[in-house]
Amino acid sequence: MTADNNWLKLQDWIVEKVNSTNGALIPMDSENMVQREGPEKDYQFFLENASRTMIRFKKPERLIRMIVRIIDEQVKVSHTAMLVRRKGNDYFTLIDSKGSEGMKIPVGFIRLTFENSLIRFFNERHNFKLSDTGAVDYKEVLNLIQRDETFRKDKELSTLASMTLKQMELLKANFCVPIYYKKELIGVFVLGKKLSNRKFSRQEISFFTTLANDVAMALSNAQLIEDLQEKIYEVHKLYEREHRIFIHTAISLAAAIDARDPYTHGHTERVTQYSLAIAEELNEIPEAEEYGNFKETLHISALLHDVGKIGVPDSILNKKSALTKVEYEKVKEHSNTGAAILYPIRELGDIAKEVRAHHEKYDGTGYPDGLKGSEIPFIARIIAVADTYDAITSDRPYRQKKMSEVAVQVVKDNSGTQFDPIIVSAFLLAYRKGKLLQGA
Amino acid sequence: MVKLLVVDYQVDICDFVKSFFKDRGFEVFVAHDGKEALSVIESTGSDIVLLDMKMPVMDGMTTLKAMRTMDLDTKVIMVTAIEDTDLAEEAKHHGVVEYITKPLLLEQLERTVMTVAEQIKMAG
Repeated sequence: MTADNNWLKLQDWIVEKVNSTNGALIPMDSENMVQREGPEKDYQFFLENASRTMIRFKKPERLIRMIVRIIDEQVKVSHTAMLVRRKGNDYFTLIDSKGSEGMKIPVGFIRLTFENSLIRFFNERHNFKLSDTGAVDYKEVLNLIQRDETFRKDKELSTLASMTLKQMELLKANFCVPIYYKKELIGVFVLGKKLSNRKFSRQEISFFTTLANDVAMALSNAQLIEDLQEKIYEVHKLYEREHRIFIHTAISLAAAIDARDPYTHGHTERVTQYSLAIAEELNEIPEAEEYGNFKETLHISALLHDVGKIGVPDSILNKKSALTKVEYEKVKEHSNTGAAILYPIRELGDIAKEVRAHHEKYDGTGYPDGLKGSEIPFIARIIAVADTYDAITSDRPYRQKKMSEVAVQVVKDNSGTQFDPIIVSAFLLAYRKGKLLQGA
Repeated sequence: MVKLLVVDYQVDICDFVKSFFKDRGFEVFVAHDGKEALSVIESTGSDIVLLDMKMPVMDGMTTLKAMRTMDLDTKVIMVTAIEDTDLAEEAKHHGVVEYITKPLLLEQLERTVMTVAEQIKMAG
């Protein structure tokens, strides 16, 4: 993952910087052995890169763990942890914690609600009365409570502050850096004592608070991404459901139409199966690629190809003897009737075209429009082959194997005249692969 | 000093709770599964047990039932990640003092243990 690589590079950079400055975040001026003020430029650079990298993290937990680890490694404190409020929860839990034994607060063990003094203290922003950065140092607060007159005068505030200190003792926190997002408290960095026992410098405090803000942004970003992904998933599920309903409706409709004529029972189902099998062998054909969604369009066209038969009266459909010319014309109308039924449905406009043309012949002697060669829509040419194959093989079900050999021969013989030769080749491939067996 | 046994599969939880209650004047022992817990209760005569549910070898519920069979009058506080009201009811049926779910409120844990400890001290 690029985000991780960037972060690792960043981490290496920090390690290198810190190691070269004897563990202090502020580089020492080796000549005078005096702490310099800057270089603020390096800090800026790091923070700019950090926030840019952090925002790319998709999983908040990984981000937080990484930050906690970096702070722990570089700032040399007794322990580090981060309290985080996950979206939807009304309490804070620890995401990670590292440090010497006994001081480690186990992950997932405790929770802090908004009634908790420490949380209240930060959420109600009392911390800003004590520090302009919002970060709170245990000793400083203790000092303030014990010594500051104006502070002691406010009973409520001093009580809350004392309780907050108790909480810090509980968490063995020497230093707390609150994390806000849009004025709301969403987390707290909890740091133990510096192993050197020194105070956190102004630079370090500023570093933490900026980091904290970046984390807030990144966390909410990650949350946004999570929310979005959830929404996308929901929408997709909805689509899938709608789609299933549509397909099943089409299947039912086709089956109902087929059922009117005992000879065509299961016809649509089989033609659909054969058409899809033939299409499998037509994958790289440019004419297939011209469709937005070839397989899908083919599937639905095959399902609905005989829907026009609804306009053919029972008397004709079930006639046992030969049809008269007039009756035959009526049957032939099912192609245009089908198209007429589908055409008003905007989304099925393309399919209407295919349905209309499924009885066209490659040499132009088909119906209803006498289209020739590539004038015939590609999918209609496929259905034509499948349709004929089924007509022959389902005629005498008890002689299916023999009939399939007959059917294949018929298709071959009519390649170029009734059928598109390319589709015939694909058909033969599918046949040899055994894909055209009923129920295959 | 009141004797407290902390039973949890996770070592860091045992360490933390031990440290926590040691600071509050308890003599604390630890165990990481039910079998070990029973053996420690017997050998140390623990007054209170903080018992986790999900453990290998012998889980919390089994341990609790075993304790009842062994007629131990150790006070049991169940501390577990499962928010299962049925399990809680069953646990109460076997005489647990309290059922606390993780992530827990530390104040609640402290209060409960302290209250039980007081009762034990008063009983003499």
